[in-house]
Amino acid sequence: MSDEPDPNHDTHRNHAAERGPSHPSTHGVLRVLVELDGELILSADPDIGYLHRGIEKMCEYRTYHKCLPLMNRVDYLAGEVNNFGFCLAVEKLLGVEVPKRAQYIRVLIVELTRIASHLF
Amino acid sequence: MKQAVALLEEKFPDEVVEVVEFRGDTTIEVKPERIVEIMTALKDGHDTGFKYLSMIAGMDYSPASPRFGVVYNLYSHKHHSRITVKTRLADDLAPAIDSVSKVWSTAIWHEREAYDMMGIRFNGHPDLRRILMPGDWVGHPQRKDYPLRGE
Repeated sequence: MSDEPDPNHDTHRNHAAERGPSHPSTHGVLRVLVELDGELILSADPDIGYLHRGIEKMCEYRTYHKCLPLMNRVDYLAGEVNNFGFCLAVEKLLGVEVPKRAQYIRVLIVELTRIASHLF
Repeated sequence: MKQAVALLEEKFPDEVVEVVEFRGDTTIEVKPERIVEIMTALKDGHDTGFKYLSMIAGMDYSPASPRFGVVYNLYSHKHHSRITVKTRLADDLAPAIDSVSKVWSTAIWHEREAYDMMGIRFNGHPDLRRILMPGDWVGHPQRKDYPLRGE
């Protein structure tokens, strides 16, 4: 994020405002540096790094099972959806297919968390 | 996807290094020098039509050499198919490749992430700066020699 003023914009006239960042416990934390001329937005520079927790790096040093608790924190309102995706990738790498019973349970749980994610 | 392999083997026979089929997924490894032409051909080709760049991943194969690589995951809505294009970068100390941001503008953010995390430079990128880490951060956290936690 550059803090240098843009020479193309008249900094005496225009107004720079921080939109966010919101508290880390709220989802989708986003900071946007907006440049305003009155109520007109001249430029918007989004800063998306506030929720970056280095999950990819952490997973490099863990066994597949130990990655699972990290996966459902990617989106904690629909956590099992992310576990599901991770499991599918690992199963594809290993060349294994889970039993039918597990497949049904997965779909049920994933749909329930999807509803939870969209309602709350 | 066979059409993509056929297209690259016909148009860029000297650029294709290896084609790997694994559990139904096709991966094409190419040389990095003509990446923009290769990607443009894959995007615009009638039988390929990879209009959507799903993601770009920077890779650190340390301690192998060439150490760094870039992986592109492409999707074709027209053919409902995916393909992975991989390339290895020759310079282990200052890895760089041409930006594909003129082919898919979504690459602007993906390449910023690869630069931020891996220190890979993208030539011709319009705005190559960190995207996740703070602007004054030192180092590239996803490199294999970067410590997992502080001292």
